[in-house]
Order: sequence, then structure tokens, then C-alpha cells
Amino acid sequence: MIVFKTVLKVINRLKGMLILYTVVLVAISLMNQFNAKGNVITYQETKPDIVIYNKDDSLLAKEFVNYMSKHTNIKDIKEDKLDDALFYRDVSYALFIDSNFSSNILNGNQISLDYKSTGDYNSSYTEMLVNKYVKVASIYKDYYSGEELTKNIEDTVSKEIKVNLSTKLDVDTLSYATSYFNFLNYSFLAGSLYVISMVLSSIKEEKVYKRTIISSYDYKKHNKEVLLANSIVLFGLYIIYMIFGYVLFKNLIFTPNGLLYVLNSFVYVICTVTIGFLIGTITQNRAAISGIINVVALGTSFLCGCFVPIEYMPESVVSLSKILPTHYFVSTNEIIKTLDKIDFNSILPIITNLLIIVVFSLVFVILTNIINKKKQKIA
Amino acid sequence: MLHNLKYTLKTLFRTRALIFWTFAFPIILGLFFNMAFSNIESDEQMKIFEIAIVDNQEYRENIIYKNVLDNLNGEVFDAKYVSEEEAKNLLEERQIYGYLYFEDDTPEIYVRKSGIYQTILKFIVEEVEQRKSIFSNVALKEGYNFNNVAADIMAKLDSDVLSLNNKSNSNLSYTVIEFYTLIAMAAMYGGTIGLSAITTSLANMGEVGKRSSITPTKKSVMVISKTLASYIVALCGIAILMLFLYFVLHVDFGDKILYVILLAMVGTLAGNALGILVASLFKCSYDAKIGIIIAITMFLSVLSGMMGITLKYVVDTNLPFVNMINPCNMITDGFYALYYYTTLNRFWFDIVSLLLFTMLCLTISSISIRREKYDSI
Repeated sequence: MIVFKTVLKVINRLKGMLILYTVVLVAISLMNQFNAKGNVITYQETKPDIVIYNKDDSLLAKEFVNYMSKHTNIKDIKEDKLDDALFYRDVSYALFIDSNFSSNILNGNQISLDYKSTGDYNSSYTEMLVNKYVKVASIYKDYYSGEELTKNIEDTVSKEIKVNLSTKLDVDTLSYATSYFNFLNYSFLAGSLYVISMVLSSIKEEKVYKRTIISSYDYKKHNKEVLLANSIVLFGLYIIYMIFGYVLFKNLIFTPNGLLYVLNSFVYVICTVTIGFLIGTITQNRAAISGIINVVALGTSFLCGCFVPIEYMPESVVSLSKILPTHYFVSTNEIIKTLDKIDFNSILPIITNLLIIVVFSLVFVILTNIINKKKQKIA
Repeated sequence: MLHNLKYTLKTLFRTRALIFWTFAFPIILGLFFNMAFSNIESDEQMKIFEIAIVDNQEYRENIIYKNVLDNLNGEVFDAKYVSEEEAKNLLEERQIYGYLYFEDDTPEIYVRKSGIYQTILKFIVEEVEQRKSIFSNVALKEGYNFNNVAADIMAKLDSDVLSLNNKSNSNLSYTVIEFYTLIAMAAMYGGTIGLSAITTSLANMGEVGKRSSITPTKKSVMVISKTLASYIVALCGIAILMLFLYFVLHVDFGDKILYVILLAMVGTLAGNALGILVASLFKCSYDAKIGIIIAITMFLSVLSGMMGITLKYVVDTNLPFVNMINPCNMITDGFYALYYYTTLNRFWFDIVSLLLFTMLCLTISSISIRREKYDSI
């Protein structure tokens, strides 16, 4: 097991980068978790983040702000910081209530309000809320006054309808878990490519390589030990990432959905190992390797929806991504996210995707062997 | 001087790894950003969303809802009129955001998850209920003629009693920040060019450095010509990147193009200064120095919003000092100021900050390498 031990020694020198990839994964997952509400299985109204600058001291204006606060998150942002807050989507709507707001309503005048918005659906919804309150107020002002007026408006606008959730899946947790497992593409690919190609560049360094092929040590055995050492390390990495997955999503991992995530990642990590061997065989130039790792790991992640959810991506990019195994890995995670009954029909697309990843892996193995053979002849 | 400049340029342009990281990598990353982010903002606009209505006896007899929903169909949502079973299937297959089921006067809303369109569907149903409440509160009030009041209420509900005046800035595309951070990153990566150039004149960094140190050429001439050459190479990289972003990816830089160019030039200078600082200050191998620059650049790029613009905003708001001394942020923020703000105060603040950063780096470097002599090495 001399080769095996040597390869492990080489990998030991590479641990710094592996720790870095893991730290990035954990940091980003924790940042996502920070926003998670956790175990949400009842309907929750979406509340846009807004800001209101109210210059009207009247009861009506106060009740209006109170109504808005029930359906939106009103943030406290100074007016000189508002433009930045809008640009960076800290708030999606800013409403300026001038001092004539309630007098205009009560006198039946045209009501005019200034606003700034990001123009997205949150701001459109906020506008609907504003419109509703003002309309109800402008009708009721002919029939009620003072506290009776605000009370009746409140009674009317607070009428709520119950919303039923048709699934008992914890959709929020599943979304965060899917982001975590999708992000694993970057960690697995960067990790596998880095470890395997660096190991191969060490053992295929001209002098070392020549010494190896003239030695009496069985070449097949040598190759098997290299493969074993790399596989063990990457399997270890896989186990660590699954443990992180368990820590982050305790209640999920041992459910059928959670186990499917674990299985999908396992099949995919095998595929990344085959990609690592392919790239390590193509080039042994260390400077080129770091470029290739970044382009491949970042490229597939951006292209296949690991960083940005696939539903936000252009159709053409999604079609293009189908030539990459990552697409099938991410697509399986997305299917698992919405799977609430396990039967043959619902599992079939997952099995198909896993088989496609296996086929990709086989193609990479064959390509690696072809390139290896050609290079051997030159040597 | 010119001789030195010419050969440094030749050497730098022929270093393939350097050219990849400073010229090609930012362009490749820009392409990835474009693929991933090009639809995000348009997807966040309000669109007509799909719902289903269970077309049963109760719904068909509910005149109020039938009228309201028919009016909104095609304007706010696209409704499919289906059986309960089909509605469930459509929801399961995520072809609709939700469906309405009528058992009595008020419909039940079924959705698969919480979200903005589900909230708007709820809002619409609630509005119908609230209108019913207005009629029962007011129209039936004693002393009023029902027909007159009903007509008045309907007129008010349909009128535009409220006018909302939009005072927003028109340049609100936040994904441009990602591309600005890319330019900032490329400018800082330019530091590796400065580093590479200066390394060849340092005696403790290799054979070329030793030979250069014993030539009669003045050290100042050598350092200045190499700095100038690396600045020219880095500027070429930034120019290619910006032309690519502007003409191929159509990234919006606002309309103050001369200021954009000035910022790119000052930013590149700051990147080179960082490279020279690392080259002269740290006593370690060339590869380690490159690693230091890449690590610093990545860290500073992330803080300035490369991995999500929210982080830049969070740091700007809560730890403004951190981003004030972050050269990547100075560059990103300068582009942001030119794109978003009508005044130039913020832009000039960023330019002055970058110049101060450059001067600081160069001063420390010159103190570090001047009068460096070796008896034996």
C-alpha cells in the first residue's frame, strides 16, 4: 500500500483548499438558514418590506399606517438612506403621506400620494393595499365620522379569508435543503477536481512517472491504489457534507425526501470523481488546473441553477445546461423538493435522472481510458 | 527606461496564467453572471398568474363572485374553470398558484405554498367580501335610499379617487452591481501583474532579480518602468472586460462615460499598487504572494457584493468603515454612484479614496524596497 499512503500524503497537503470549499458551503448555507422560518406548514401571508413617511398626525392617517403594518413589514429607514435601501431591495416601496392626507379624504378632494418603488410584485401588492384603504375611507366618510369612521373602516378592511394549504410538506425547509444540496455541486466538483487533478499531476510528473512505469510494482495495482485513495478521501468529504446536511435539516434527512437527497448526492459525487480523473488525465499543468477547476465548478453551478434558482433562469440557458450532468443532479433535487407521495410514477423521473448521471460517469471513464492510452504510447 | 518598459510588456503578455486570470477569467465569469441573472429582474415584475375556479353549481349561482372574477380574468389572473379533481391535479402539478372552491357564499382558497401570488389571490377574495361588508354597513343604514347609496358606492369603488405619483429613480437594475464587482475584482487581480513585474527586480526572488540588481540601471528607473508596463497591461485587461460588458452583455453604466473611464483607470492603478505592496512587503515565494492577492481580492469582492448585493448593503449600512477602506467596494460603489445618483459627490469620494489607497500602498512599498542591499545572496 505504498502508493496508497503516498497519495494520502499528497492529499494531506491539499487540505487547506478543501477546508476553504467547505467553509464557503457552510457559510452560504448558514446565511440561507438565517432567513428560514422553520417548520412552516400553515399558510403565511407575504408581507412586503416597505417604509412610510407620515406627516399627518390625524387619527385616520395613524389608523391607515396601522392597517399597512398588519399586511407589510414597515421598516425604519431615514429618508436620506431611502434611495440605497430601494436599490438594494431592503424595501420595495416607500410611501410619503403629506399633512393634508386625511383632510383631503374627509373633504372629498382628490387624494394624491407620492411614492418610490422598485416596480416589482411586492410594490404592486403594496399599492393595492393603499388603494383599498383609501377607497373604503372615501366611501365611509359620507356616513361616519371620528372614531366611528376609523372603526368601521378597520372592521371592513380586516375581514379575512382562510387559506388552505393542500400539502403537508414543509415547503420552506425543503426549499432551503434543495439550495444546500444544489450548492453541493460546487463543493463536490471543486473538491474532486482539485484533489484528483493535483494528485495525478504529482504522480504523473515526468521523472516520477518514468520511475513508476519501469518499477516492478504492478501498474494495475498502482492505479487501483490511486483510485482507492482518492475515492476514500472524496467519500469522506461526501460523508462530512451529509453530516452538515443532517445538522442543518435534522427533521428532514431521515424522511423519504431527505434520503433521496442523500442518494442523489452519492450518485453525483461518483460522477464528479470521474470528471476529476478525466481532467487530471488531460492536463498536469498546475496553473491550468486551477483555471479549469474555477471555470468548470463555477460554470456548471451558474448554468445549471445551483446559485440562482432554475425557475428564474432563461429557457435557453436551461436547455443548454442539459448537456451537463449537473443539470440532472439539480433537476432531481428540484423534484425531491415537491415530492409528497412516494410511488413508482413519482419516483420514475428521479430514477431516470440518476441513470443519466451514471451514463455520464461511464462516458467520462471511457474518455479517460482513451486519453490515457494515447498518452502512454507517447511516453 | 523605454527598453525596460518594452521588455516588461513582452514578458507580461506572454505569461499565460497571468493573462488567463486577469483577462479571460473575469470575462468568463461575466458570461456566467449574464446567463444566471438575465431573467431575475423581469421575473420579479407583477405578471398575470394562473389560477383555477371549481366550476360547480354553487359557483355558477354566485352572481357577485362570478361577475368580479369574470372581470378580473385575463387582467390580473388567467382562470381555468375545472372540476374539483382537475383543480387539485393542476395545483399538484404546479400549473396554478391556487384554486377557489365554492361550498357556500364565500369561496375556500387552496394553495400549495405561501407566496406573493397566493397573497394576491387572497387579497382579491377578501376585497369582494369587504365590498359586501360596505353594502351591508352603509346601504342598509337607516335614512338612506338604498338605490342611490348603492350607485354612489359603486361609482366610488370604480373611480380613481387616489392618484399615486411615482418619484422613483429610473435606474433600478440591481444586477448591474454584480458586473461592477467583476470589474473591481479584475482591477484587483491586476495586482498580480504588478506583482509579477516587480518580482523580477527583487534580488531575493530569483535569478532575474539578482541579475537586475547588479546592473548599472538605477533602481527607480527599473521600478517605474515595470510599474508603468504592468499598469498598461492591466488597463488593457480592464478595457477589454468593459467593452465586453458594454457591447456584448449590454451592462448599463449610466450616461457619464468619461467618469466611468476615469474610475476604471484609477481602480486599475489601485489594483496595481496592491500588487506592488504585496510584492515588496511580504517575504515569501512568488506563488504564495499570488495566493495572497487572490485571497485578498476574493474576500474584498465578496464584501463589495459579488456573491449577492445584499452583503454590500449590509456592510455599507452596519459597518461603513469596512467598506470605506475596501478598494473593491470603492470601485463598485463609484460605478453604482454613476449609474444611480444624479450628483457626483459619492463618485468623487470613491475616486479620492482610491487615490489615497494607491498612495498609501506605493509609499509603504517604496519604504520597504529602497536601499535594499545584499552583500551575498
